[in-house]
Amino acid sequence: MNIPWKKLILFSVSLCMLFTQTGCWSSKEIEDLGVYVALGIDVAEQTEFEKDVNAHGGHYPKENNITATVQIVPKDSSKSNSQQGSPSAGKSYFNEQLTGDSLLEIFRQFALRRDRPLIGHHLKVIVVSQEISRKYSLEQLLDFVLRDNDIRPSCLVVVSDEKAIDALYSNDPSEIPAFYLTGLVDNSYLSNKIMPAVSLAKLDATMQSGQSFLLQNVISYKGEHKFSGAGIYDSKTKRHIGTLSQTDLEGLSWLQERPKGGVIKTYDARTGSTIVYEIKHTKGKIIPTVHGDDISFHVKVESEGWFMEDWAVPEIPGDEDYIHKLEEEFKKIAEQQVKQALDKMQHKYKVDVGGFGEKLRIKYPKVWKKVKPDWDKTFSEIPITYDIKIKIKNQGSSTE
Amino acid sequence: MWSKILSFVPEWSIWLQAFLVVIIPLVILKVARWMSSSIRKGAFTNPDSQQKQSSGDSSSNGSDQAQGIETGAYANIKLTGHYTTDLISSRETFGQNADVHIREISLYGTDTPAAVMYVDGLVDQELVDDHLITPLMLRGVPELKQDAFIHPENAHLLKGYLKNHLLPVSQVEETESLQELALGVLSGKNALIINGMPGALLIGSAKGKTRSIEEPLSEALLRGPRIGFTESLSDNTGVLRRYGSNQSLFIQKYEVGTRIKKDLVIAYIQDIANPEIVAEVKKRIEKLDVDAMLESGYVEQLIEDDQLSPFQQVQNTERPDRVISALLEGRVAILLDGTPFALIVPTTFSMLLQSPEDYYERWIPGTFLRMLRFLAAMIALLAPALYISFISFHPGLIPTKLALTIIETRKGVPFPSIIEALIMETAIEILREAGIRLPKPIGPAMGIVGGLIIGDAAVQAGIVSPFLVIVVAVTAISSFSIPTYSAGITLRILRFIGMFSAAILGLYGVVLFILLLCSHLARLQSFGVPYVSPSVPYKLSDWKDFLIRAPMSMMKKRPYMMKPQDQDRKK
Amino acid sequence: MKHPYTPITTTQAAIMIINYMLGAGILTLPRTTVEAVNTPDVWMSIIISGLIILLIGFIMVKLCRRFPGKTVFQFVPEITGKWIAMLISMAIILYFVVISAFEVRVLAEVTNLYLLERTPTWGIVMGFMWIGIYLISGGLNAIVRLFEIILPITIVIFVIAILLSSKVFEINNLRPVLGEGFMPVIKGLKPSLLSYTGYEIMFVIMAYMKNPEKGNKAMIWGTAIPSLIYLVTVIMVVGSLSINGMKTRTWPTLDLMRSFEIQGLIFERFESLLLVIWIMQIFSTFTVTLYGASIGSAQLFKRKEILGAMFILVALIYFIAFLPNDVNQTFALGDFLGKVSVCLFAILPALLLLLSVVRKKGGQKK
Repeated sequence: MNIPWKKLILFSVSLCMLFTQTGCWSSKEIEDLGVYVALGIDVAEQTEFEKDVNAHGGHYPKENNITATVQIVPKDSSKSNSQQGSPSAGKSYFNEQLTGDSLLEIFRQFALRRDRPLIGHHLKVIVVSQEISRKYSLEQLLDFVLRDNDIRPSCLVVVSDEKAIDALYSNDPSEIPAFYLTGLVDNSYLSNKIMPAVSLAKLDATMQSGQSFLLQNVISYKGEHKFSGAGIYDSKTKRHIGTLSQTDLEGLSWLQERPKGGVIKTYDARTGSTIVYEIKHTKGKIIPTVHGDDISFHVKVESEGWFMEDWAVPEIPGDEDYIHKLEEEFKKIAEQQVKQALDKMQHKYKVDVGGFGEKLRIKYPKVWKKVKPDWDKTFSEIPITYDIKIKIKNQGSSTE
Repeated sequence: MWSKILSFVPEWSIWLQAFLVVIIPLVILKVARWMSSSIRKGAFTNPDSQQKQSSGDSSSNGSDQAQGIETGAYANIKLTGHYTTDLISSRETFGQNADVHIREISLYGTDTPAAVMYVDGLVDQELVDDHLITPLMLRGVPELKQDAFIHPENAHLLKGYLKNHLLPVSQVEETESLQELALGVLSGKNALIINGMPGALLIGSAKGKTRSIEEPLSEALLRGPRIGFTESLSDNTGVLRRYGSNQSLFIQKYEVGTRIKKDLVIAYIQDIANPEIVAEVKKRIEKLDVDAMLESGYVEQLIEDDQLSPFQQVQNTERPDRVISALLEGRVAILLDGTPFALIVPTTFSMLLQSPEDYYERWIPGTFLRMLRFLAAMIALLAPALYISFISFHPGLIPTKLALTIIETRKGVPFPSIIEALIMETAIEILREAGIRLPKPIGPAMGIVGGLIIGDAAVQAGIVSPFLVIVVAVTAISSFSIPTYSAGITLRILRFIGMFSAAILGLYGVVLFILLLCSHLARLQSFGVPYVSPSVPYKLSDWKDFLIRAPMSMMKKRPYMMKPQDQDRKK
Repeated sequence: MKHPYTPITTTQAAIMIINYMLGAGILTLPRTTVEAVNTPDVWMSIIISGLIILLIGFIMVKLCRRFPGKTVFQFVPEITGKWIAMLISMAIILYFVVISAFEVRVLAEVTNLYLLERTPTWGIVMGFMWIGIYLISGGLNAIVRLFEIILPITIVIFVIAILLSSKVFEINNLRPVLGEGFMPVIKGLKPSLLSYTGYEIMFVIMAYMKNPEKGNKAMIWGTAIPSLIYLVTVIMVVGSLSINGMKTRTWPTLDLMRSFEIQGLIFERFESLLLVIWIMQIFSTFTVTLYGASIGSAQLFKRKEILGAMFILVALIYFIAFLPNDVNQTFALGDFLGKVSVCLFAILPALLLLLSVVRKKGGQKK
């Protein structure tokens, strides 16, 4: 029997090649995927559907610790077709909620309900409710998110006043709350009442470094949102311990080194009318001084800006004297803001969220090493002096 | 302890995979070797090269012809000097052809019978009438010399006298054999036999109808000489001479083809070209052994280094200015009678994307156009593959807003992206092939029809997504911008392979494909010059002409990759 | 198959070293050094280890120049006896093989994690190895030419990526400089030395160089450029993610690229770029080590063809790549390789040089 070796080998090799065609292992068409752009974490509260299903035996062993909401875009076209005729109901996203005790498991539960598996590549914002972050440390809540290979560390994290679900709901049908929230964060150059964006990467770094930190707070009411103030997180427990208001944030912003925008408003002493100064450029420096065991900080702030709005009647001509007077007024207001913020930081909540520890670390690393473990406590007893200088460069288009 | 070691030993599937990892390339290697050796063995090479070679310039007089071994019909018949015998043997052999005419005349003065034989359609009527028959019939041999020729012993002087005094023709050859006479007459020369003269004279050459010199269709430029080669070899070498009028332009003629003989010419500039390259070219041409060399494409395929490669290693062009600039860089040109396409060797990768227009414009537009072409080549190669890998494998790498739009538009599409892309690409390729053969008025319209309507209809029908139509359209347009047609075909083929590798392994597959392609290019050589010069090996002076086109005054040296003898362009 | 080769130029030798050095190390270097140093002064460790490697490289070059035209496997038997030489050669071959396997394994891990989640590992690795085999069968010149093509692409994309990530860069993360003194810098030397493995290929390629006397120049360039790249990478990673953020990330460099988005460009995300060039660099490292090992085996067993040895080694590499059971074991393997490289290629050349001088073997340097 003459075995045609060559042919046999060629045949078996081609057969093996066919194996590669069974491949395309990782391929999944994009329209078969559920892209979710926002994630909300809340205290556990089962939805109607869940309660119903559980009653019918569709439950699995879990402790109801958190409710996770995902915002999936785009909306299924078949669904929107069925709502033809009602112009306000054509939303471009929809939210899904499930309750459980592990984020990953909840996500996999979604696979039992929707035909499109979730992918986190485009996750833009994570909203954590105040309530849940008082119960659990942020490290616990966000652990899955930090480990997942899909979710990008560029995603933003914010805190919501009430429920996270509310923050992810919007009245306006054409806008998607996730994009709206991330867009708001970009506005920090316009106003110093908004914090700079906190991405997952930064958050992770801050949590690992053992410092207290702030997260932007979101207030929602009936589908409309506002960035207001910030939530304070303790360095040791990583839990929410309080809030700074908008004005506190303003005060805090003077201490930090980033150039920012914003306004200072004051009232004219005589007439009580509003005068407004627009901050164009601020240079803030925190200077730590160490004498033996005594640490103290001095804050130097120099700000330049434009004098933008004056309600005084009659119009006061903008001459040198007037300008100087105004500068003094604004300075007083700024100092007041700073004092208020420092007060809250040092005395009410006893945390350092202004970046003082960083400055100490850079200038006196050896001292920092000593005080680091108990920094928050030490900080609340450190004297801080400040010195603010305001300069009005420009009066805008009208000189009066 | 033992169990710890055991825990490291991989399981049986790993053994199997390791086995496969080794076996499969081994088998592929064996198959490839077998294929290339069978290609080498079979075709068309003459192991003992005994090619007929006629040297010298084309304008000089033909000298002795090499005595080859004659084969075929009426071989080895000598021409006697006897008029009637020769006439009869001619008549009965090639004279049987309907288009061979024999005109019998007699020499003035001696009244010797003579005959002129020529082929209809190839004859230069003027030559025959004025310069051949007229002097023989009207002037003939003058009185004083006539005695010399009456005697048979002096017959051999007749030839000399005719050649030197009587025939005011520039091309005269002698022959003694009937075979050569037949070949000469049938290829357009005019034969003259005279009673008493041993052998015959072959006079003149064919003057058939040839095309006028016009711009080549396939390589039209916006700026540049509007001349192209024609099918007649002598015209082409004439154009070359006129262009590169220099005494070191060396033209060497070979005859290829055993049944249908054609002239093949090698041209190079003697003191620039690297002698090794020239020797290699000569060696390969001398080895050729085909019965008919119909087009220069035959020559190209038989002398190239690696027949299994999708990249062409010999460049073909219709434009003399391309040939001349290549010669000035130290390359060698090959021209074949019967086709306007000249070959240029050695070829490197960068030549495929260059166009002479780059040099005729100033350097800023030249650089811009060249970079644009590179970009277009990249797009033409990789765009569908990248589309497939992003849509099917890595949706996270697309910008979010775009991803959302794509999801919306792809909702109704039933096919996975690879099938979609294959459908559209195949349709475009078929359209393109069809477009070449359509008559001129319909061609462009067909393009528009195909592009707009079919694409739109496909989207409406829900077969493909609109995003894919854009990708495919951009790819098609990019591949049109490549100056050499053959390179365009190569990229089209490779694009399909890229799509398949993207379909299996996504972006990683695309990277592997690029690596495979670059490895292949790195291994490829064309006549001893690495194919990927001038980008490697790093020679800064060569880079002036690669991606950018440096200002004219900076390009003083010839490219180093050809290792020319004379580096300086100014001389 | 031994193709008739043209000798490689100095630049080409430098490029081989550069491509070999840039490999899996780029992704893990920030984390391993920061874990050891714990201050933002890691960049100093990198510069210093670069200099140390340069010195070691000089010793190596000097040794090779005493035996022009011979690779290490050919001249070691002349210095020591036959049996010791065989041991040394086998150690070097084994080292190359294990490095190959390590690179392949890291490639499989990262690709699996970030690019192709559900693809079985053999699908990722097999195609990769086959292309490597294809390239090597073209001979040394083909390898070098491919490297010359890959390197500019790598550098261009790398520069683009770095410039883009300056968006999240904060200089404060790098301060204070030398806050805790010089000791941490010394501690950081060991893990950073590991990433510089690559200069040892000079042992093999000096034999094929056109101008061996310029070997030092090749070594300098070959070490300087990867040092620069490592330096910039570490500075950007530490500056953007800060020490604390980095310590818990498995692949910090990739996370750096993922930690920002730029709206409005064609790509919003740039990790794909980094992954593309990184895969190409791993390919080059794999190819070079496989080539080194094949040449070694061929010369050890006195054969001309390297193809046979190459196939056997490929199977061996495949095995070893799958030996570590999880990611941590893979990193442990990497650390181990670093230590071995210091012994084999730092101490050994010095010893050999000494021996050859003492025993008066080898010609004078030209």
